[in-house]
Amino acid sequence: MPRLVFSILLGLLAVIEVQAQAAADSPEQKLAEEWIQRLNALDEWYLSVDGKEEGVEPLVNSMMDLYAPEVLAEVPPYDKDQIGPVMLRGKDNVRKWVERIARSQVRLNYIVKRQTEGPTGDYEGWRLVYSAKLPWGGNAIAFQIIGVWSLREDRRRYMAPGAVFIQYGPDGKIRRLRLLLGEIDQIVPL
Amino acid sequence: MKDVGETWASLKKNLDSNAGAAAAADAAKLQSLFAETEAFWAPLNTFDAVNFAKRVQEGAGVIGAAAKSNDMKAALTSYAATQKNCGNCHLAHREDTGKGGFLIRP
Repeated sequence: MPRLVFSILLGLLAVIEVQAQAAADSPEQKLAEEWIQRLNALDEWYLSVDGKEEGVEPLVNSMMDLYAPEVLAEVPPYDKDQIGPVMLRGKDNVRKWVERIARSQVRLNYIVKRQTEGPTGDYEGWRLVYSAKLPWGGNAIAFQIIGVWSLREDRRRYMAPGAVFIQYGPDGKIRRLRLLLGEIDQIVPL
Repeated sequence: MKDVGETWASLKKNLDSNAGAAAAADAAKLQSLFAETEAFWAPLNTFDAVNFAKRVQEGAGVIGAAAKSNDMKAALTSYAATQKNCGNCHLAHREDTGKGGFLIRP
């Protein structure tokens, strides 16, 4: 009898594991992770000994490969005097925004928030990515994030909870992006 | 920057052996080297690195003055305090390639 119970438990665990793997490997999950990885990679460039910035362009290009030419992006304000989000129309304007991040922020560490079913399970578990088919074709994904970054100029570090909404066209390119970051707080040592 | 390690080691050796004049010369050389370091970072809008370089120049000035007056205890105290800037700057801006070299992070 104990052997049977043990076998059933083992079987259940295996099923749970298989489902978990499927969720983690879903195309939507991969799209979310790809976007986050390319964003976080924007600070992986170097200075030459004569002070030249080397390797920025390929990183910006890598991020921009994800976008359609007519992309519409709503991003958080990045001007001190700006209140509210900024709407960027077209790939060229999005590129300026991406390039600005690459050149002005370091130690980028955006993560997809994890969650379990329980009421306090916000720090472990699944990286949930919500998805939908768009009526006009293409797919949409949404996921919660925590954004962490430092300013290149003074190394001040900031953190903000947020969310990302991305709509892809049938060609797999991003047509719309909405990045929300709220309650941006400076991280200071205790 | 490549001369810094050698000069820094020489400074410590001279301070430990009470060679005040030689230590003061090393400190002066460090001031000059870190003026170059400051000039490297200044146009790159990386103020933490600029400040680390400035603090080392100030520290080297204090070490040099103490060494000239043969106050080795004060010089060694300043040496230890100044050295902290090296570690802090390397932590933020130097990346080990694992192949015997380093990369400069923005």
